[in-house]
Amino acid sequence: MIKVEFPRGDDILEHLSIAIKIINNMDQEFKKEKKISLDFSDLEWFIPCSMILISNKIKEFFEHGALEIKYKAPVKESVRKHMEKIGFPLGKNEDGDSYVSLKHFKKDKKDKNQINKKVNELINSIEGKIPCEFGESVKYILGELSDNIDDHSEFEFASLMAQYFPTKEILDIAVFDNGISIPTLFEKHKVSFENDQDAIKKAVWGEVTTKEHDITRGYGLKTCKKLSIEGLRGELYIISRKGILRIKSKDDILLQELSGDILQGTFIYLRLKTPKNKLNIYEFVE
Amino acid sequence: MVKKVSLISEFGSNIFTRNSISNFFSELNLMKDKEIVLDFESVEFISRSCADEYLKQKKVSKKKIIEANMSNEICSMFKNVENQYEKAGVVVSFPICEDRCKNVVSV
Repeated sequence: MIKVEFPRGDDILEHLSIAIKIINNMDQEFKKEKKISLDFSDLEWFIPCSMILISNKIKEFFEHGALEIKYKAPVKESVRKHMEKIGFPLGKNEDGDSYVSLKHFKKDKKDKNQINKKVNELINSIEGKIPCEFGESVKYILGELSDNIDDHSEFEFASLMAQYFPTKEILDIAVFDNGISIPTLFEKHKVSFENDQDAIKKAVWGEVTTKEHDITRGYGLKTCKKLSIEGLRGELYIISRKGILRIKSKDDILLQELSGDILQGTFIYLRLKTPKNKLNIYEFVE
Repeated sequence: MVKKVSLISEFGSNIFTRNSISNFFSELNLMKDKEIVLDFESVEFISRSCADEYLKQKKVSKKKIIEANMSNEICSMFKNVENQYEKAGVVVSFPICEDRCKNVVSV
């Protein structure tokens, strides 16, 4: 049985690193017998973004013919209820007053509008839950992130969730795709980089694009970074293959490697602060 | 007679992905009509990537494409892309943000 436990506190990177270790263990278990057992019994605390990774993995296993997936629910009632509320493990359609529950979807190769439809649904749900001071910023950010998933990732499953914390005036958005990752995409297009975190940095700073002959490309992640960090005074986390990028401000940037683990795909997490006045996105996007 | 296509029916109130735009233009280019009005009525938002893709597809399409009922927000995004194009030294035809929907019929 794979133990699922997270430390107290809001260290997002710490929680994500543990979640990635857990899903790597899940992969190893699944390869042996196509069965998974997860033990959440001692879980006393979690950040929702860590659950999106585990949930996506469970969804993937079902699709790949899992013979058995079982889990021991948390003993602590508040934690158990919170997991149910956000739609763990398989996601759910109903959303709450201040959150969009876990949503998973499988790539439909025949439907080129699939991502557009899904993000429209997400936006329609989010808009009623966040202050109008966000303006078009959330649409802009989700639009560019979803376009990257659609255009580049070759994903099989994508997952997303969002939650607004009215007391803290913070919006958390998490998006994950289990596709080929940014470094692998760059390798495919013969874009050079030093290591996986350097690849993420190049993508986010707009230093390279896989569409090198198209000089109007490469703006998506770059403008999202500027909008979320400068416009919304937020934090941005990107984990892709072995690389980690964390931006807490213009001057607080961390690039590092996952220790001993790999994330198959790309995970993006944003923590955005509610602007004091309605945000004009064009002050921050080129 | 000009064909009119409602974009809200095609995309919903927000247009987010390049693939949805390129797919849309593929269908548009198969239509028999030479002149097509794209009605942006009730479309609230177009992403920067989509505005870029839209302009590229329009440039290579053999159809005469006319935009109608673009909101201020939609116009602002196209203007944003226009500025980026200018900086990159690229010249392309940009939609005019006014209603040019005359003598059109819906099919």
